[in-house]
Amino acid sequence: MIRVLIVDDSLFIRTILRDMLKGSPEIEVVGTAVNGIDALEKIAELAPDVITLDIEMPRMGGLGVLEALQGQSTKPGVIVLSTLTSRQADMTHRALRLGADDFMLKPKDVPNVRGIEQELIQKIKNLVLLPTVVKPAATRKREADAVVLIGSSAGGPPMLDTLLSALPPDLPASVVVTQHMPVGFTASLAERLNRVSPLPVKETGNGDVLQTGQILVSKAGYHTVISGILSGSGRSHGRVVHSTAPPLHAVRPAVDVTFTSAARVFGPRTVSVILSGMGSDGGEGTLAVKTAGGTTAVCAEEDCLVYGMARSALSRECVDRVVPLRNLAREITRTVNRLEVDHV
Amino acid sequence: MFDEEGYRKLFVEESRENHENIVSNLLALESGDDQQTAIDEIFRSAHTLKGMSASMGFDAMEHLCHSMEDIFSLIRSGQREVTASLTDLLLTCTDTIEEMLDTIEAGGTPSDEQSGGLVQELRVFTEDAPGEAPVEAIPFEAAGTADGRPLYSLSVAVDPSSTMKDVRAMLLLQNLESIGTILSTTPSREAIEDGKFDGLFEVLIESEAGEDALRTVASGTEISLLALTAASSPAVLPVETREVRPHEAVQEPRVTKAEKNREIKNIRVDIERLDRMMNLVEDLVINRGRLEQIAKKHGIKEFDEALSMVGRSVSDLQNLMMGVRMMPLERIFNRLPRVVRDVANHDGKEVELVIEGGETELDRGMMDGLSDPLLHLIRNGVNHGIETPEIREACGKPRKGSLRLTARRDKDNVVIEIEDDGAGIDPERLRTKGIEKGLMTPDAAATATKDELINLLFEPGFSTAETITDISGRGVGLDVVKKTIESLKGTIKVDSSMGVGTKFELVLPPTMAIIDVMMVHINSMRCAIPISNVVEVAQTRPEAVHRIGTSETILLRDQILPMHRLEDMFGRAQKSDTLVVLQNNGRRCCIVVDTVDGQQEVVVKPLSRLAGNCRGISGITIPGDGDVVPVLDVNTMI
Repeated sequence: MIRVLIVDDSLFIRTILRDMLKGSPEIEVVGTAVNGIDALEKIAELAPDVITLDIEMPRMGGLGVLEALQGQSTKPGVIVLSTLTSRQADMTHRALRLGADDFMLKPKDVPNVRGIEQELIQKIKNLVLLPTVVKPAATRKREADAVVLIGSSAGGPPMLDTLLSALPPDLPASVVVTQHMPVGFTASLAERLNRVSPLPVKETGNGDVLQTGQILVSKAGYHTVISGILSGSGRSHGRVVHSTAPPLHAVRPAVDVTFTSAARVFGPRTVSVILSGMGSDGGEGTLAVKTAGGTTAVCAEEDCLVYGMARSALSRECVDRVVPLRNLAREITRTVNRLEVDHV
Repeated sequence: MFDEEGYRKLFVEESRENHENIVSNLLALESGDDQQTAIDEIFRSAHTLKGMSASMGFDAMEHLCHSMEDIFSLIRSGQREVTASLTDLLLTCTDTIEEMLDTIEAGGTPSDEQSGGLVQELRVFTEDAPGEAPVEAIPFEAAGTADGRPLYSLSVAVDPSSTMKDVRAMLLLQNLESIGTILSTTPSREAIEDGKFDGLFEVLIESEAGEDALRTVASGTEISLLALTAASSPAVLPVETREVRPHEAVQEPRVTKAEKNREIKNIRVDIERLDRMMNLVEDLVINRGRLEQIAKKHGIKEFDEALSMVGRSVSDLQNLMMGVRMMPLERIFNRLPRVVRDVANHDGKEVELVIEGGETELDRGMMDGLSDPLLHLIRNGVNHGIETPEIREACGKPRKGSLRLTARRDKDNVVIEIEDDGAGIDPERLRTKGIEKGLMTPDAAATATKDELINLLFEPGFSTAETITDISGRGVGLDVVKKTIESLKGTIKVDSSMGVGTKFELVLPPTMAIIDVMMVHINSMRCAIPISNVVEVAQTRPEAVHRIGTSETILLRDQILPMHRLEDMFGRAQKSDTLVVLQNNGRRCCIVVDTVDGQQEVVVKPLSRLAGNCRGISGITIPGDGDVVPVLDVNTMI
């Protein structure tokens, strides 16, 4: 049983969160707190495993709670709940630096959007289940010869936790994760993923060269275009270009842009994966990867909160494999290793 | 799992609290006390409102609250000043939020039409702030120009010593194609790809990817960008229509409702349910009365004991229910500072509103009815009571007028006073007006006392205002105020002295439903008189009765009291010498009754709509024996 304490100054939000967690038999909401001071008292009293933490609260806000928890030997896992503003994105990032374990955007349109609770439940479980990783000593940087592309949207972040934490530290490819997310939050996402994955994770920067064994998370607000560069030895590698072209499918970064441009650079040495997501982004991109001779996969429907993006790829008949989430990391590794063998 | 109706109620309830918090703090901000706290409070409330409305999918409201939050974020960090025009705009926003909440409460969804303009206006305030304007969360709008995409000209140099000049150039062109459309190259593309160039070439490209992207693409190993310029003449190309597919394309089945099982200490209960519970308690009170009468008939000791226990429980339950229905008057007082501010600004007056006793509790059912009359009296006070600063100074008063709103408990009643230090009411003007309006004959007017004149204010169609302003508005007069207060079983009284001020006093019973009455018989018919109106019961002799004109009076303890026989209502009474002296609002009269039966706690039920409004009767009650007994409305008798 995972013991959860909900911290939020709004009764309405507390009620929604409590109801969301009620659906999970493994989670028990042991209490609620209305501000930071209340939260610290309840944490001491109830010893929860995980707390959901609001940032703006009277008397003491979420950052205050994190600061107070910093010195303590036993502290609960903390999921910060945030709203969609750039200032809040900044606060969320600060919260992660202060020791919050994960973050989530406050639920939107609860009455009409099904399954938001699954994301929160999964995040809570991941906090308790996923061990913190010990990073292997940094290997020598090397331009990647192969790329793994991951496209993800609603319901994706907890899947990324599972997938990226299971990748081997010696993966002979670069990974580019394109997750639909509001501007400002992808830095937090990268920081969060960096903690659970044995591979280093960072947000993309304009001009970054794709390196073996590194995971890049597309910076929100730009499309991540992968453009080709030639190394001195004449081998073709990839480089990140931040494009401000208008949003595609109403999103920026768009999965299609990254997939299509990367396929052009890496050709058959491209592996693409579509996770949970709404809408139709990713379909064209997966087709482009397939056309360029790459390997394409989508996650199995039962593991996805929303199956729109995967379905968009499946409808184009360009998907090699449909893989359950728990096997995805192994499948990716196997495919990339096979490429490596071919290449040598 | 999700009970949408339940959420909606909870949402509206909590949103209203936050809304009120914003309004009261906006006003506090304007009055200048403790700015920082007020700013923090507003910011937090706007933030909470935004988060909650997003959770419910009320986008229009979310956007509006988001804009307000942005502004207060800037104010909080000192990048923006609170100006009068900003306060006005923000108050308009709070009005819109209130409208939206009304829409939501009625089961609807607020639309952007309600708020779109305001969001734009707010944006003006955030955008001309120095420093970085906050980035919109999801930039959906196209950054490109409406006709034709931006055009750039690039000059690129490839290291002449490179052995792969052609390959590098080709890759560069390919990379450029992934972020834009190449219109032309110099030399030609074929020439470049064949390596037939001297290391320099130019590209004209149409791209929306931005300069940074172009710079990154056009530089690398053995390649350097010499110049990047925005081309002057953008090619006019048909704009491709982008397919913007919002997320709602995916249809989600509605989530079914499930049973609630919350362990929350405080619950919010619908007022309708409380009303139903109250009705049940009232029925219990009635039936307890019946049981008592049956018990009296049989005289069984054990039964009496059990009944008295039940009786006590019922009384406790009743007190508890009434307590549950009580709410602090703050709930309606909180709206008033805003009204005072608006009216004062409109009239060019300076007014300070002092509120005391907001914690005094009143039955929730009465609260709604009281809101409008109070609003009217407050407007009245500013509008007609308090003078302009110039006149005030000329009279030797401080520029700023004062309006005091106080509430307190007086025995069982709640007393609310609205007192201004304005010009007061001129009895002479009332006298002329009264004659003008045909409310008084000149003769009656000549001898009318000040009280009688002041009571003219409450006559329908009487208004002393020189002009009808849009703010004191709606053409509602004090007569309507009086009627509303009376329908709440309350009374209203005015006290005014020229040049010093005017005071309205409202006296309200704490609850309307259950009252103590004195049961009497008049002409063998039963009648209930609210105990709060009864002064005493007296015996008299026929010779003490005097006739003055058509009415009878009686001299009792050196006081002349009008005497009523209530024959219209009950028929001719038998000879009786028992009098009940009644009082209301400090005035007295007496009525003749056959017998006084005793005091009893009863439930007053309103007259059904079929019976209509019956003057002299405030309602009926059903005591234990099932009889229907009228309750006398003393207020209208005097």
